[in-house]
Amino acid sequence: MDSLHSALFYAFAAVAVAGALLTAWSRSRELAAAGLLLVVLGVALLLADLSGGFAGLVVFVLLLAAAAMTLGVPAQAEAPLRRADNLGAIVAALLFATLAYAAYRGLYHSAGHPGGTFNAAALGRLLIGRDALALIAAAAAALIAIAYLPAGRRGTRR
Amino acid sequence: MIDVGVAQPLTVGAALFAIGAFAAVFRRDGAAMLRSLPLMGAGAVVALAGASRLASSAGDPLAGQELAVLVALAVVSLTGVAAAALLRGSGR
Repeated sequence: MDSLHSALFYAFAAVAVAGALLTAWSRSRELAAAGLLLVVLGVALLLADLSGGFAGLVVFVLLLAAAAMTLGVPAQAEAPLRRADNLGAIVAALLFATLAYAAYRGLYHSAGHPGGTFNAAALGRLLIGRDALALIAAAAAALIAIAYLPAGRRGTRR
Repeated sequence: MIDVGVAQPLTVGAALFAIGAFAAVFRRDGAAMLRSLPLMGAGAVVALAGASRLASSAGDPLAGQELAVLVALAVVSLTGVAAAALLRGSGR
């Protein structure tokens, strides 16, 4: 990657990670919504920077829908933290350390990108042509989830 | 400026996934735990797109991007079902 794309990559990565930290830490719904928006925007721009403009656009719409679904759930009173809950933080830190170690120490095949920055036609051929069954299955699952959501809302009104 | 190789997108993806996992296990509020699902999905999406751009085989260069789209669809499904279950649970 050239210098401009590298600089953009780090900037978008910083936006996404800052948004994730804001979402994880904030107890206010508005701040969490802002954090999720930053994550979704940062990830979509990261994908566009990684020569996946169309994938970034689709992921932006889908993750935005998922974020909107999470914000529709009312907050509940949080129980006070127990000492055992700190174990969760340690496990998450260990998870990151392991994944980062694998990313930096693993031997990966390095390859040049064949070209294209948006790749809508090529990605469409893969999704609708070669792997249509996978797309149909994932889309059907998403449709069922979206159809199930109003049933949950009716349950809250009873 | 450090050039971007395959390790950098994988690390950013790992960071997003770990922050999501942290929110899922550390927070005690169902709504806050639910918000960890898009975070973990976003981490997987970045790692897949990065591998697709910087370490894919010449025969199938866009498989990572395709998988990223499918993962995002799966995140929508999981989030929708979990949100509906939480809404039903809070209504009882």
